[in-house]
Amino acid sequence: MTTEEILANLQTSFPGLAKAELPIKNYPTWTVPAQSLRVVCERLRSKFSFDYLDVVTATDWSGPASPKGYPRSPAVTPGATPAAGALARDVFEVVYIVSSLSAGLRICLRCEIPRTEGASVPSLYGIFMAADWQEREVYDMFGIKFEGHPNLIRILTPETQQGYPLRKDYEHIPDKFD
Amino acid sequence: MTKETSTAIKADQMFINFGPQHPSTHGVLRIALTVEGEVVIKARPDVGYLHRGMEKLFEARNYSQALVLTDRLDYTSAMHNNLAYCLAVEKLAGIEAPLRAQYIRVLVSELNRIASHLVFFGTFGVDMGAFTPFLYAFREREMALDLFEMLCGGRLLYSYMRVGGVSADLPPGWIEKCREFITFFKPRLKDYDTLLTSNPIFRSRTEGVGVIGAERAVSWGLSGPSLRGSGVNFDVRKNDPYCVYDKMNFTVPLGKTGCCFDRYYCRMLEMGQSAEMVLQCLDALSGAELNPGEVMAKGVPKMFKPAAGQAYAHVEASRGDLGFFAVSDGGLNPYRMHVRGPSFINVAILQEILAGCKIADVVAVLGSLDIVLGEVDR
Amino acid sequence: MTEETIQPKLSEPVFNHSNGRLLMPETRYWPTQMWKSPWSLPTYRRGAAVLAGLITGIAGAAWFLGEAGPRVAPLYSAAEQFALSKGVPAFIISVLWTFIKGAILLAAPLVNALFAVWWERKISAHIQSRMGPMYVGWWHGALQTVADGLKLLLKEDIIPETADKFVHMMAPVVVVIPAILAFAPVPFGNELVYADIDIGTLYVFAVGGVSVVGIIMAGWSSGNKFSLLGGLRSAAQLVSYELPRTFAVVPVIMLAGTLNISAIAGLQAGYWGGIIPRWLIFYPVVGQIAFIVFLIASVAETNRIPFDIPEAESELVAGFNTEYSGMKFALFFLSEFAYVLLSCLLMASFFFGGGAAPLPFLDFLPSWAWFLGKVLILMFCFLWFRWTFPRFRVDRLMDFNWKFLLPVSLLNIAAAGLLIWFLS
Repeated sequence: MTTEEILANLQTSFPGLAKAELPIKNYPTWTVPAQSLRVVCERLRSKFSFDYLDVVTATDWSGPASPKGYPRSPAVTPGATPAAGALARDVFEVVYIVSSLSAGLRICLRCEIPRTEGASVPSLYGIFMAADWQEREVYDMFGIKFEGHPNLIRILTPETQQGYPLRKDYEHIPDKFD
Repeated sequence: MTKETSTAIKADQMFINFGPQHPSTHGVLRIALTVEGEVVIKARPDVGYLHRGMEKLFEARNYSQALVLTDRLDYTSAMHNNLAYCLAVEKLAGIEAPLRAQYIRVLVSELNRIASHLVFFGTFGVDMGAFTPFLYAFREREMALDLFEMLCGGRLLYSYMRVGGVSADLPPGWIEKCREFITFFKPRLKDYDTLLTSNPIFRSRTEGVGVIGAERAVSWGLSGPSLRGSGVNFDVRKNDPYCVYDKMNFTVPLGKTGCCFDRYYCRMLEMGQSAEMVLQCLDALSGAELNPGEVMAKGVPKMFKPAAGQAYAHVEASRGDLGFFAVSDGGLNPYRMHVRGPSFINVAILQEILAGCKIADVVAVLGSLDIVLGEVDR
Repeated sequence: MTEETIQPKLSEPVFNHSNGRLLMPETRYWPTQMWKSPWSLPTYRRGAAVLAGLITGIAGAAWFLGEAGPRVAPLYSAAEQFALSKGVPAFIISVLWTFIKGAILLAAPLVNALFAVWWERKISAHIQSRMGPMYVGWWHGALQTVADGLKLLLKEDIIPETADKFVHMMAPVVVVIPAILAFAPVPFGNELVYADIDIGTLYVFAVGGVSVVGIIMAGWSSGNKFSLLGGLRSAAQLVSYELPRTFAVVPVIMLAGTLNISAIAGLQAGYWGGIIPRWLIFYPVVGQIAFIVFLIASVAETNRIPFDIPEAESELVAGFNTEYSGMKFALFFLSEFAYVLLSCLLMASFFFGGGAAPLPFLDFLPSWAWFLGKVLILMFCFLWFRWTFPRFRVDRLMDFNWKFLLPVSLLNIAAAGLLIWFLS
């Protein structure tokens, strides 16, 4: 079964599911609405043997990185037009790559959520155990909450960390380690 | 990183901080163990002691500068990190490396796989209490590192690959030296087997210990020899071939039960396969069909702006499926770079399989997963 | 001035200016070069010659010195005569003499530790295809252990805050005193024994067993969980392996009919058919099994790989001696090597005929030289195990003891009974 057929099959039950305009290169890429993410993944796993979760990550689309690097350019105010960068918009994009080891297929799922303080997507914890740490990492770096994750705490940064480092508006607050 | 104190522990149980300063955590991993006598009741791995904000650092450098960061991920197999990064950026920018460069990339990554698995072999022996295999392994690894030094001047962090190819062609005399290494190395694999693999004490320590079933391994997203030890036939080189791996003739060793010994032996067999692939690449490179000297794609500037887009490329690194997810907004720097570190995902399963093990088995299981903390913490 | 071409130093990598890369210098040493024909290398031949010369020299010196034991008695009587003539009471003379002998005995484990550490480092190095200590001292790092001992003496003695300070301080003492006391009834050659007591075998095992208490004290008092685990492990292990070790000696006692160690060694003098020495290891089946069980249990008793679970460095950091530094650590080290020496002396006495020569015509060497040679060979076995085997897991270690070694040693006692019935 090709990914096209799987997509067509799934689209009958989830009309929000669509092919992404700008795919992640060389892999079929779909956009999934946040509310149907968990169900789509459950269906992919149980019906189409997509049993392997490769990647969970996210992108903060709120604005371009300063080419000067550290420290970051000032925060982009929500709602206002971003200063530069055609793609900048006020969203987090959570990216999942799931693959079927038996069929050798690999699908990228993209899920855009509004960029707010309590931004959240459903967790894939029960479906793929691999989501456990990867979702914690995304939470640690972006502050995106994964609803239903049993142990959503910081993983790489210390628990004294202020803010979420990979957000584009992150500004480092000097602490005792500086 | 979280605090866990011994307040919630019952009277007959003991809480042990296994690491971050411990001889066999291979770096600064901390495992919070709750033990009852010698038996582990609960284990919780805790990472982040080596976190350097790598993904943030990528965003502050242009594509050529960011290459050197990748070396520091899994520092025992830096070539794979270079390769995965270059493949992702090449995909993003639509560059294709010349065929000769692709052969060299496969050659050096297989050579690096040997060097990296030798570190595993040595340290796994030390974890089991056998110190001698370590020095045997490092004797051979030293030769591989000499070859890398000849190639690019670096012995640990190479930065040999470039976006669009490799930094330089093989130096004169390198191919002969490499053949000499492989002919020396292949019989050594049998030595290792007699020294460690066939040792009854070693077998009793590893066989049937830390068993990961195939289904659990897949669900936890394990990759590399840790996954194949459970008998799951998944290898990026076969499953999603990159460079010239589709032209290579090799088999993927598989384990049966998913115990520590299977994971260990998969790596040992993989070294033999890598040696074969190195020879195949050397044969191809010593001919004249691949234009000598043509190792960089034409017209790749030092600083370039890939068109806005996203790309994902992954390679079979020594420790598993190493992926780079690159996002460009059309600027000089990557807009976002995510590293799928196989060690990071492999180490998560410890919380499940360590319960019920002995304390001595913690070392065996951890060693057999073969993690590098540089990649776990990034 | 003569024109000289500037040659790069051979030990440095050559920089290739055409492509800006480092070329491997020709002198970079690869094992392939050595392995082509190791014997052709002059260093190897020189090494073999030095070794042969050493052995011949030591044998010659031993022959020249002759038996040490019988010379002591005239020395003692001469000294006694001299002291008596000066009006010293007889009991003071005997007490002084005991102290002098004690001091000489005390030197044995200390000198042994100095030598054995160096020897272990050299042997491990050569097993692992490296050189080991080479710089300190004049010859092959001969003074390395002295330098290490000085370093350990000068190091700060750290007592952890959570430690039970008195017990922490006493533990190395409790470990090391029995280790030295246990040498009392052990012969070093014919008539060369401190206390030739009739229950020597029992005494050695009884006194040697006390060291366990010290190890548990060390583990418990350090206030470190890894130490505690190590201490408990050692308690379980040492007490368990004490049994097969003692049972392995029972056949020896049955065959010899005495518990006196030097008497056991003395009974094995002579040759069957003038060629095969009457050593206990050559008694069919019984001797060999007893020896092997005793050897394995001795390795376990001395906490060495593959039985070093009390101090397993990759699991328990350093087990019971994690929190020890400086001279206290050195005392643990000393007692470990003292017990290795003790086990080797016991094995040489019980199974290898003590100071008897392996072949009749080799009698010209004194008994202490043979003793020393046998001890060194047995000690080599200990080191060899250590650098070859991985470590047992704690439960397998117990299984191995209770389910294999102990039944075998018990059966061996029965077999010894049959053998004695058959011989009589």
